[in-house]
Amino acid sequence: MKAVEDVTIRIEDGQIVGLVGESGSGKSTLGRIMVHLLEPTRGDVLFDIPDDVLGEYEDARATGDQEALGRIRATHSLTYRQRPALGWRPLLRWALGLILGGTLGAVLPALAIAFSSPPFANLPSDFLWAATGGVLVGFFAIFFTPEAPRFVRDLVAGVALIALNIGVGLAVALNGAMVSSRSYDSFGAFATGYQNGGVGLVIAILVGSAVAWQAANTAPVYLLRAKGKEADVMRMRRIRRQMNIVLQDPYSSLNPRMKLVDVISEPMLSMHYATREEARLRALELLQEVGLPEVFGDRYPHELSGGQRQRVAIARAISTNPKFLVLDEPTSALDVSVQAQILGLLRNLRDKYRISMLLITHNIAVISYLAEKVYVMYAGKVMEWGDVAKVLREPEHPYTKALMSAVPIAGQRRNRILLRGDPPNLVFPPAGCRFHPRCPVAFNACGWTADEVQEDLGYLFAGKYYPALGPNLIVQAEDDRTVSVQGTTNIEGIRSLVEREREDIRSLQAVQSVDQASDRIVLRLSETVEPGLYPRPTGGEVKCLLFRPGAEAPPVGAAG
Amino acid sequence: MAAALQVRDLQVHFHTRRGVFRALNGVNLVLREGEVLGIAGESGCGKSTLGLTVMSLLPRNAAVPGGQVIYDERNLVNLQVDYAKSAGDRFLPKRNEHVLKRVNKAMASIRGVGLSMVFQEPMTSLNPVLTIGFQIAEAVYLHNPALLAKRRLAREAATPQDLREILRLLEENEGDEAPIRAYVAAKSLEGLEEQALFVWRRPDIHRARKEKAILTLGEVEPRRFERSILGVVARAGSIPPQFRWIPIFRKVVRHALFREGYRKAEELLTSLGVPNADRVVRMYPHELSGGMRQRVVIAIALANNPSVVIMDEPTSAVDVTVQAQILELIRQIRNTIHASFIVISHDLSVLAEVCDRIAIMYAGRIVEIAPVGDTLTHPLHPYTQLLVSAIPTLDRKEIVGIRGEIPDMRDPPSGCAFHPRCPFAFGKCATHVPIDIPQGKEQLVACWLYEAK
Repeated sequence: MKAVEDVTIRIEDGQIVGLVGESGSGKSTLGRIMVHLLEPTRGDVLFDIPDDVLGEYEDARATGDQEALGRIRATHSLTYRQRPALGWRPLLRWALGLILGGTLGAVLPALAIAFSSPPFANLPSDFLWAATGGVLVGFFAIFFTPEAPRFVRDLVAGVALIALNIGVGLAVALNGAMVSSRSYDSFGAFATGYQNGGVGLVIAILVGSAVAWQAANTAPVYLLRAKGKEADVMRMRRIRRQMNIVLQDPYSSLNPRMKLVDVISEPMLSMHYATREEARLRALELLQEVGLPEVFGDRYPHELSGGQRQRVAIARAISTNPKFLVLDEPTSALDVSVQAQILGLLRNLRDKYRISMLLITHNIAVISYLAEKVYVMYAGKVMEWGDVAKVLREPEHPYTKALMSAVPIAGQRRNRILLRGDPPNLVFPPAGCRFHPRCPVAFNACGWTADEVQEDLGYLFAGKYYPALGPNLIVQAEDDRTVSVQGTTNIEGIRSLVEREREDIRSLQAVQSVDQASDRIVLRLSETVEPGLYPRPTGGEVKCLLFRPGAEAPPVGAAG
Repeated sequence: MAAALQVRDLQVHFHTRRGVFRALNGVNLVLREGEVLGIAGESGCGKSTLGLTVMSLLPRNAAVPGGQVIYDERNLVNLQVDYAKSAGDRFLPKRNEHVLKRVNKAMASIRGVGLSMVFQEPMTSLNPVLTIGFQIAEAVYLHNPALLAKRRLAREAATPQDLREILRLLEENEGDEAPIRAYVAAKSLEGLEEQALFVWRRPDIHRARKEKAILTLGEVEPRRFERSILGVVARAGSIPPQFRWIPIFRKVVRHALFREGYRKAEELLTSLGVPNADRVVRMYPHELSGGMRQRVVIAIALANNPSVVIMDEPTSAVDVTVQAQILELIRQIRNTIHASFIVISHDLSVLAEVCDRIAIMYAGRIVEIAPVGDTLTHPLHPYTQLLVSAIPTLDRKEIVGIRGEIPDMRDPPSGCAFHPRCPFAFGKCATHVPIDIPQGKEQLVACWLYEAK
């Protein structure tokens, strides 16, 4: 599941940036990545980075300058992980481990079999020693390569397998040669011995390699790997002091067994920001800062109402003087009247301490009240961003338009753009633009696939065009870009259907040609273009092909 | 306009270990026929309690010491009022259980049929181990088994001539109900008209297919045993005891009625805009998205053509775009269904979209009730004014919260409950509970500021 993909967000010092979208669009995931509660699969979160360094970073990314990129990431990226440099020392250690493990894995069974009773290897001991050898190979190989990627580990297991193979084979051959040296020459003995020991050998090899592979993934190995991360953890702790998060539900984000003063001082203590006594004093100060009396310090969270709890959560978030705050739906669990108080408080705090904030919410009105810049997300991608005033008033992306028109505003009845359907399943995200199946102005390049066209055609044939085209039509998606219709020869009818329904049924926009094949009519679809973020003259960017540079002007009043 | 539902001076107290929680303190409300009434307020002001009281779904520690809920010229809460009065201060939840048992029995014929409710959170109000179709069919099966039996029998009994005649009537009168009902009644084919009308009103298929669908309504697999049993059910109007207690009959009846119920569920869902309803009825709730689940819950509530539908926060668990769909749906069904609606929400802007009138509640009382335009453009009660000004809008205007918190209803403030937070409070507010003062044509406000000097 790709929850968030291809997202670039920029938050300036002291700026409040809004992030808006439906649930499941990846807003919260993004927020959590930003304060490093989640590790992204790929990508950087650059924190506290000066403009010129950011410029360098952009250049390095554009040119693919790995060295410069690594240097900047090491100092500024939260997601940077220290990897052991590939010098001769780790290489030597790795090789030594491999040789040692291989020797142990191969020689031990060989010795064991050599000393076991004649005439041939006995199966159980063969088995046991091969397994022991596998464990040792796997363990040692990984012990010395804690950061090795998966394929190295598999490679090690493969080497172990070969080593075992040769070792055990040799041992059995030796054994056989010892037994029968009087009557056969040595090569014949080798062959016979190998043959007779064959079954046990194959099993031993399989078990040995499986065990080696398993051993590479066992808990002690992971602990060893984790040790290597310690440096990163220490670095994170320094950075985490400067950022914090306010969670959505104040009823579940405060520990019910801690007094409020402890709740607020906990981050200061765990980040070594203050001593216990200082933390206590600052906690009381902060209570007043967020508009609660000092006596509340000795109370427990259950004695507070929702709004008061959220104030405490905010006090806790700003206790270590962070430069950056993620607000994950700070007011959606609260009543309107309390929401207004909390929004006012957040605004004051921003003005007083110049904290940058990322405001995640589905409530567009909250964004418009608090934020300066807004990013609109849909299905894990940023669809549009720009100044709040611009994006909320004159949205350009069809999704933003629909979203804005869906916001109920008291005292106004407006023309709604009703979106059909639901947000997509991100395990199988739609091709092309992720919004295209619901988009009221989607056109041919937006990512229609044959399946979507087939479904819509099926409805049309069953409904509106039932009398015109007859009952026996079979629509099939042949491959990704062709749809075939069987059971009619009325090609003109289908052509005119496509022409006529284009405006309503947007998937038909993708139909490029309607041709007669041997026994069926073939509809070919045009190619899909993946939309990028296209800059707009007003400063923002829009991820929609309608705004592709060089495209004809977007239809006036489209979707509105 | 006649009243579909009246609430008079309703009080509800919850007896908790830490004292008596006064949830409702004298609510007066008239729901007119065919109107959509919104109820708004902060959380904890008694909106949902009001809905539950009307449905008589209160928990056992709830007492109704006074008031009336009048529906269909019957008082729905008199049993509870009697008990609370006789118990007085020595109210015992355990004793109340017996009362509630009798209430439940009496309400069984009203709930779901006369009054029905859409509960908060469609995720939790559907049973996760039963299919969608079953849950909708169950509502019809329990309240109106005869309808299901009649539908099935009518399909079986209809001759091709009947169906052609119905189709002709539909075409001539363009879907008008009355002549078809008359025809069906004359031929004693009740139950057929609703199926024919449903097919006729479907937006998603072409006329030619509709005609075909209506003409093939009569193609039912004949089952004589089932038919004779369903005949008994249809004549009796309910499932007779012998069919309820003898296992083999019970099984056949249940099976036949539920099969018909699934058909009915399919029709209901299609009319609420659920695509592929034939597949959806066989799905389980977790397979549907939030918006679809909400439609299913609404379908269950509407299954028996109730005259009053109470919707408790119908859109607070769904996204903005889905919320827009649901609001559109509510607006649509209020035009097609002859019912009155009570929509409970904390979001005034949602209510503004669908309601005719809005009642604002505070501390278990209705403080203002007015047509939707008046509530938003010139609210009278200070609480309403503050509430409206606290809604953030796209205009980036300054918003102000209401200082203070909602009062603890175990120990509510004297006089007007809002006076500790009210910027206009004066002497009388602290001592006297305000009365409802009519303002303008239809506005009622409970505030001493508007008392005629």
